[in-house]
Amino acid sequence: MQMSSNAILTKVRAIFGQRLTAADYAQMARKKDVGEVAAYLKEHSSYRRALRDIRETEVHRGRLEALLKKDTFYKYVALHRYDFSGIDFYNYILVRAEIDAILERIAALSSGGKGAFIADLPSYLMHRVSFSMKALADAGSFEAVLSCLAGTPYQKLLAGLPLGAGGRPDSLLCEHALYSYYYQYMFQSVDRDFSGKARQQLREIFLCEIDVRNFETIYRLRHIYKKPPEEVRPLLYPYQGALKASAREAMLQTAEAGEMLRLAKLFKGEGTPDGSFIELLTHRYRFRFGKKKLRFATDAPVAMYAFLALRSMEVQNIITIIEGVRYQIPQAEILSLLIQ
Amino acid sequence: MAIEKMRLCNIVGSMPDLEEALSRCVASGVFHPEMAIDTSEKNGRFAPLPGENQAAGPLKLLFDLAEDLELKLQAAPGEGLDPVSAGQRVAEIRQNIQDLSDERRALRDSIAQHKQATSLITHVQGLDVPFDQLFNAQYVKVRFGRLPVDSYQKLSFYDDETFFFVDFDHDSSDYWGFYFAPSAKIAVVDDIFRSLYFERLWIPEYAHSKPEEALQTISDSLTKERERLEAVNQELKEIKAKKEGELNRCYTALKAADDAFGIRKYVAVANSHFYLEGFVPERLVKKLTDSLESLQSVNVSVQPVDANPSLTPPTRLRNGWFSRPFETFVRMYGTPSYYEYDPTLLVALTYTLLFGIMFGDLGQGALVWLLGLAMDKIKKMDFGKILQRLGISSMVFGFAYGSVFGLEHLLDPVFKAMGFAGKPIEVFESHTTNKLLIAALFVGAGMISIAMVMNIVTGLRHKNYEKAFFGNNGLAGLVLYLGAVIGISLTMLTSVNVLNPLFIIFIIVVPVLLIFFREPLAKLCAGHKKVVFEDGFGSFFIENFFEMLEYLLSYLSNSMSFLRVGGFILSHAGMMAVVLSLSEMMSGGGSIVVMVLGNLFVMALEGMIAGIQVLRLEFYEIFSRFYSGEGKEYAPLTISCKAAEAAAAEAAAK
Repeated sequence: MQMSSNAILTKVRAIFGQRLTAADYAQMARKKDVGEVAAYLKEHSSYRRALRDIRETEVHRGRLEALLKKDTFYKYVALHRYDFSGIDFYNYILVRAEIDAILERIAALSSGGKGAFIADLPSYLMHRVSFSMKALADAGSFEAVLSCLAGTPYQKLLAGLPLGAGGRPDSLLCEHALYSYYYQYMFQSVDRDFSGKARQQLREIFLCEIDVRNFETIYRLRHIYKKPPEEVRPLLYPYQGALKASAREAMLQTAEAGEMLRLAKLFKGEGTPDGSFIELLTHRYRFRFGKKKLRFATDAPVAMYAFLALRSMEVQNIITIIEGVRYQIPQAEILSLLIQ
Repeated sequence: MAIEKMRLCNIVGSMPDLEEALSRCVASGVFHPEMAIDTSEKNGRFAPLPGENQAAGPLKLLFDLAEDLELKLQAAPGEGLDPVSAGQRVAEIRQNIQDLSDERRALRDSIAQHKQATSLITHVQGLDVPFDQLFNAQYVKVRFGRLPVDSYQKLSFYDDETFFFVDFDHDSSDYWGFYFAPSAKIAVVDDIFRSLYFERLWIPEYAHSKPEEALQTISDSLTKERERLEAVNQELKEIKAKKEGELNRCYTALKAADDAFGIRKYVAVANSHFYLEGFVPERLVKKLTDSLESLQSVNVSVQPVDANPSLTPPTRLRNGWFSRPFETFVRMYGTPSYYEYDPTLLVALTYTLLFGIMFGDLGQGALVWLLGLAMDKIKKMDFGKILQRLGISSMVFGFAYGSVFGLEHLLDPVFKAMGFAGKPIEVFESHTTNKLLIAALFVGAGMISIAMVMNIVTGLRHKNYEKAFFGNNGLAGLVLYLGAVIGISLTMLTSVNVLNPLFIIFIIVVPVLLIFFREPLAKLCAGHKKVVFEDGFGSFFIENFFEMLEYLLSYLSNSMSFLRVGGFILSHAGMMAVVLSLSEMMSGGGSIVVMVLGNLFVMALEGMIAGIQVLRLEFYEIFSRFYSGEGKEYAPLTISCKAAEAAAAEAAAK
């Protein structure tokens, strides 16, 4: 156990050491098209192996993104290989992928088609999940989604939700129900599988994630959509980290962006962002938090969780650059949108 | 060992004076700006400063140009250019090399296409049906290309659609093949395959009949194109050599203008007045106010650092010559917050001391010092300064151990001349070994205690009584820890038994109870009249029982961590003994070579390990007790190229 833990820690640090730097981002943001960005990644970064077979001159933006996300998953698989403890905790990535797939399918029900859902579906997860992805893709209604989830905990969670327009529950309610389950699962598995510092640090990481989710929910629904507090409150997750329950309650009472940021006390010295870019602020907060946790992690699960979260943010940065390059956005503007 | 005191400065002035005020703020080098005023509210009183960055376009052009020339741009000191002329010059040079760089791009594209065509033909060599026959079908449409492996697995999701995919080759990432669909359905099927990232490929005309001939034709073209590319690259290299200086000057001018524009984001405008808010070190406030004094409309209001509670003051570390280089290590953990203690001096002293103890060798220490001196003076690396201090510490302890490049008795005459019977510390003697390990534990206990004291002081400063008095690193923890250390030491080393009932009650039981009940006690101190256990007393008891166990174990394991300090003294001496034995086995020059290489090997290996291990002790055993490191760096406004220019000029003057 100790040996496997050290192996994971060492591997994580080695891979993290190859992360993209500000100079890499600046170089990529100056490229003229997606192909040039792909060529840069292929030549200069730890994504070399993942992108080795693509042809830069022809690569499709969507495929490039899919490959980068797949690479993150395989990084997880490669690290997980060194864990001999057999604990449930490390399955979190599958639980999360299942939840995201279900939410995406429910959201796509209104559009009718299944093409976009299938295109975004990570095929490398298809044989690892607890229900049939094909059945989920074929499900044309909410009832069909429920029946393909039979036997999984998700079915009960979704079946209990009140139905709205189109014979399906509100997407926000679905997200809240499934992610409440996810966090409950995570806290239970952390309390069961770990003790001491590892347990404490993992709890801190999840609480940070939950704080950010709660903050974003209040910010969006109160400030942008002007929903009343009583409609927002049930969509919050009942855990508190740095965002105290009292601050959350005070945030619910205002719809003003600057005031919310002040009350949250999470993003000191960051200024007020544009409404649509609130995620930038919250992601940067998570990025700093994760980086610190990873730097001083002495336990493999902490290092691995923090690393994979940071890696996802790095992939997100590459996607932002690809989008920016594609739409000819000036370099400085692209760089200002990165999580770093 | 201090964090510089700051003041909050608000600068207000009329718009005509804005540019001059900004330029003086930058020139003062002391103004750390804040985005203090919310300009994002559409109906707010303040608006962001309008304007367009004139330098952005030429700068991008310059970056493209530099990429074409494979030139690394850098700030160039000397005769300045104004941004407009710099922009024009960049455009002219760009114009001059446009044809060459276009030709190079075209050649590269063509070479890439030919390579792809070669690969393509290689893949279709397995097909025994002529292409023309396939593509000319009337009722069935055929598309050739490659489908990612991930997408190939998703084809089964479309088993209700009318198409089939025939693959005749595949590698780790793609399946190469054709899909067939009825002419009437081809649009739908094309959409499906497009969504699956199917990459449609056109077979070149010349490959339709004889692939071998086609491969030969492509190979001939590739050779010619590569030769031409080489010639174009050579021409561009010559141009680069001629224009490098000029382009760097253009870069300096344009970057300075671009940076100056970036500063404007901190400015808020209302009623034809501009507003700027930021922090300035207290002792440098006069520098800012003096520089802005002559601007009639500009007024600087200097306020206490906490005047605007929504702002976090930045941290500027101010340390003496000895500890300043160690700020790097502190920053590595995290910049101290403004209201926190700066642990740099503690790190400087303990790091130097522990490294010297672990890596004590007079000769090797001298080499470390020399290496540090070279890194400092030649490469201007801060780490060089750290190495110099570590080298001296290593020399001091090396002298005490009587060790010079692993030769343990070279200094014996010196010690005898000084009146000693032998070496002050004989590492290999059995009773010294025990003493070294015990001493290492005491060093650890001392350092842990200092960290606890710092935690108590920080807790008191922030009126956090749980942290200061009742936490495991608070006063109760300190009494318990020191009590245990003293109790165990006296009992084991002097046979004085202090474990009497009074000692046990006041030094062990009471602190344990205080730590156990720290949360309710802190609430009582904070003025709560009644303490409620949210999840019931049972849950509180179990949780705190296990936490208490963990604290007690961590006191023990943290102290034991310092055993490595003693261990490294022994391992260093042991490794050098191996080098000496190997050297003795050789004769003549071989012996010297083994000695030199062995010393270099041990220095590199042990030096790095000792350095990392001490840093680990600092971070995990010391910092984790009292230090959060969540501050933000003091970053006064600067224009990067000007700063580089000034630094280069200063270096040249020296």
